[in-house]
Amino acid sequence: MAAHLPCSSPSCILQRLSPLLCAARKAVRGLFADRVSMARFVAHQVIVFVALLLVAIQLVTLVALNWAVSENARESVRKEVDVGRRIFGRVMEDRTQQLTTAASVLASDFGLRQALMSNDHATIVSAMANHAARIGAAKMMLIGLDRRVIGETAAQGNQGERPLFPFPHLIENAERKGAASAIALIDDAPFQLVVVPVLAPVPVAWVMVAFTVDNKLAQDLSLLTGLDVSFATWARGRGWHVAATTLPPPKTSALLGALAPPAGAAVPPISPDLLGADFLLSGSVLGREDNAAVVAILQSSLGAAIARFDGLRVILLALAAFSLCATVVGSLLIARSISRPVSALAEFARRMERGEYDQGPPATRSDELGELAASFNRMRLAIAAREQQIKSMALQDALTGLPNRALFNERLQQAVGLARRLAQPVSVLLIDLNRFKEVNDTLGHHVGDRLLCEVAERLRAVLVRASDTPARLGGDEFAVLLPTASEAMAEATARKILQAFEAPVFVEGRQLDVGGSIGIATFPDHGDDPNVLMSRADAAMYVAKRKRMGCAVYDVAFDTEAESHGRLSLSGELRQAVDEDQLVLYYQPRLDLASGRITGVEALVRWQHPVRGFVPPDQFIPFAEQTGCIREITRWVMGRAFEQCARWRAAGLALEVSINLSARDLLGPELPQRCAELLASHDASPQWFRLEITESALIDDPARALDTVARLHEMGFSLSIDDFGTGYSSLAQLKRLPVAELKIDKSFVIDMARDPDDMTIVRSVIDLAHNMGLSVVAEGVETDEVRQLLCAMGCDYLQGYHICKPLPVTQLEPWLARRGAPHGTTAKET
Amino acid sequence: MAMKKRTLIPARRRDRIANDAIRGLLILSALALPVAPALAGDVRATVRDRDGKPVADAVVVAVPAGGAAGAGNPPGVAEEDQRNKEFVPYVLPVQVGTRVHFPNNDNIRHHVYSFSPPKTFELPLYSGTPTAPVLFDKPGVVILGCNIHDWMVGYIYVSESAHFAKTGADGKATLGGLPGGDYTLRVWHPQLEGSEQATARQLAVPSNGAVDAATTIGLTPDFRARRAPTPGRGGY
Repeated sequence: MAAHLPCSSPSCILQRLSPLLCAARKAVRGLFADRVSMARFVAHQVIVFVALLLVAIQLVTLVALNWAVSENARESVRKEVDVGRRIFGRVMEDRTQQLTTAASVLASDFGLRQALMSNDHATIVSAMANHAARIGAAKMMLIGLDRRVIGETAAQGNQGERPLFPFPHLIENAERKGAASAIALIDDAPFQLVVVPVLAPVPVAWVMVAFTVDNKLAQDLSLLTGLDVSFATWARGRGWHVAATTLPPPKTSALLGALAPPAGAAVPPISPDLLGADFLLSGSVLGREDNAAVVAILQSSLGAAIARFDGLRVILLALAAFSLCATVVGSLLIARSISRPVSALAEFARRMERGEYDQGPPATRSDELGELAASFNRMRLAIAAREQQIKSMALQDALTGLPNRALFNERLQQAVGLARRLAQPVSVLLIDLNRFKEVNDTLGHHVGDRLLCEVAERLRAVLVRASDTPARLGGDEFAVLLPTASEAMAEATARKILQAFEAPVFVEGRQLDVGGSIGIATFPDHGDDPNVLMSRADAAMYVAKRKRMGCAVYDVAFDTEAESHGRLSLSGELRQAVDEDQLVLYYQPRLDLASGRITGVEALVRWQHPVRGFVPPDQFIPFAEQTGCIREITRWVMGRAFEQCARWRAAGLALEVSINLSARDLLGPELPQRCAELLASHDASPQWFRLEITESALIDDPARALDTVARLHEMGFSLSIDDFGTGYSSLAQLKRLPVAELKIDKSFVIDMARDPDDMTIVRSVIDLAHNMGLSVVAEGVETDEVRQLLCAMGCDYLQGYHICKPLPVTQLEPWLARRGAPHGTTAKET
Repeated sequence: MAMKKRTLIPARRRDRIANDAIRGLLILSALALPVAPALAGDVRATVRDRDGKPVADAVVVAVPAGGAAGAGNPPGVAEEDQRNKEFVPYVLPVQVGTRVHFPNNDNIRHHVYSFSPPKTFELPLYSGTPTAPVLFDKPGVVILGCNIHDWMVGYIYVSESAHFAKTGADGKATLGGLPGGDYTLRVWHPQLEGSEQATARQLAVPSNGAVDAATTIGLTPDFRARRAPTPGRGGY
């Protein structure tokens, strides 16, 4: 029911409120436009929640009020209509009584009676007209006792047959009660009819007096009842017609529209909800005949009753709007009082994010936010302390306690900066321990670590100046920063360090030689940038190491060397080299002293770098061994060597090809497999090849290495120990190895002519090998003197620049062809 | 106070006084009849309603078969009194040609009128007895009314025959001194249902002796205006 009322449904109210909400949202947005997003979010949430809650409550209130108002209005209108109906009935009754009395009085008028009894029609009609006018009646009719009309005011001079009175029941009623009244239609217009006798003094005739039922009557009744009064007539075949009403024309037509069903045989009933829910009405049939009826309809508009509550509604809406505004403003203030300190805390957090720990959070109140701020402050202090700790850890080498590379770089930078301003020199020493890797590999990391610690101790002992900073850059690489130290001072310090290194180190009862190579670079002579300085020191160190000079001061001449020997540390580059065939195989001939012929060649890998050019093997092989890339290189080498060997054999050149294997190659099962595949694919014999392994190759995992070696041996390959004498291998191990040959390291051979120790070693090795049934190869034969010595010692094979340097196939083949004869003892071509 | 004094006489008693007066008048006229020629018979008429109750104030008329003209005594004078705002008697049968006086015995004025076709007349407001009596020269029923007292109703039955009588409270009336012969006997009453002619019956009246004639009539309800209340008295 309430839904029919103007704007009572929730959706309608929402529609009304939506611009309000929109405006509130805008206001909130505006107020917080300059705030940080988090605070805005909080404020938004608070305000939106409170506003929505309030709107919901007000909606419920409005709906309830609407319902109550509508119910109340309905009830009051129902009562009004009820009262109005009773009043109407009573008024109509009174009116009937009055009219009857008036008619009776009129009928008793002697003059009228005289006129009526005169039998003169014209007199009768004129007297009736006169007397009707006296009481405001519309019509008057004289009826004989035979119920035929004697005369009537409306009729003009009808003297013919007297018609029957059309309302005989009125006469009957009047006979019984002395008077009768009814509302009936005369010529389709409603009239109130009163029939009274003409007494002379007994009834001698009947007089009917008709009063119009018109708008004035309706208005009078409307005034009394407080309702809209309509008189509707119904006639068979003509339907409804509103004869008199207080309604305005549109409502009249609405009423008529509601009333007008197809004209039926009987008067249609008037239902209380004839006009729908907006009106309450009461209909009463005033007069009914066979073919016609007069009905009074009393109605009251529900809308008007509800409209009386409009003021209340407006007040309530205004109150709702005001409370909404007040709430929004209030929650805005509260939200801001929260969001401001939160923003301040957020700003503080951002400062912490940037690492600014010096300032605490802004002092705030003693509420929860203040507590939060205090917690933030404690957090700040804790973080600052921890960061300090972490920083110190980050700048220190955990093993030796020396500054690490980062701190060293920082100090170097500072020192260079200072030196630049003060025009002072700064020197950098770069120290690399000799053979540290071997110590680590053979004796274990803990020994290596102890060694490093000892080195650090000695560095500290040597460096007496507080400003001198020793540092461990990583691995066995140390550096020393010497502010204000000239080149000469730096070199002196370096000598002192080397001196300090000379004393052996005892670890777990072992005596270890430290030894190191030191590169020196000085600012500003060798570079004015810390990075340049370090790379220059590195170059000098490299030279010192290469030349076994102990220490070396940087020289411009080192540059090219350093560059050409630049560390190739990119495994990607090396793998790329394998993939793109940047590697080349060189072959170094081996002279068989017994026959004086070149019976074999050692396959040596070379790298023809597209940018760097030729890269010697000791520049990338150690690195390849570290990264594991050596396996790919070995694969590649074996593939090429097998192919080349097969080609030579096919060409009738019976050269035995030696191939170097690395320690990593021996650890996996792939190598024997690969060898088998290669033999099969080139239709080659294992006797064509000699596989060289170093002593150290067996150290990491002797069992697996020996297993692989044994398998290769079983396959028919002959094995050779490379670089014999430099490692820590034991003779017991040597005994277990199925090798056929020893290769004496070239470091013993090169200087054996001058160094009696080396000669002794070489001789002993040759004797040892022979005694064990092995053949001996001497590498690094560079002079004829050495060749002759070896020859005298009974060495089996010679290899070295004196015989021939490693050559690519294209050069080797002509060389071999030139040499021609199996004997080449005097061949000295290089 | 004067009016109060009048109320000392009870209403019933006063009515009785009036009735006695009427009766006295009738007796006088009846006594006059035996003076007529001998050889006459009587009609002892009884009028009852359908319930068998005797009907008073019914007029029984006997019309000789040969016609009424010339028969009987010349008409005399009669009186229709007005007492206590009533016509007394209520029904006054008279022979055609009778002059009737309308004495006013009330101390207020009356305005006697009649619109009845046999005699339309009017005696404008008067008190006492108008000097000229009213001649009723046509047979029929003349209804008397008073213009200022609506309830006052009186009937003057103007008979063409000289032989008529009015029933008393016992419903009996005697028509005496009728010459023997055939008569048409009719009954009329103010509340008679139907026409008077419908009650007509032939009756042979002996020259000497009496004949009984019982008549049953239907009565309609008495319709009278409401009597206006007088101080100290209730309504009609």
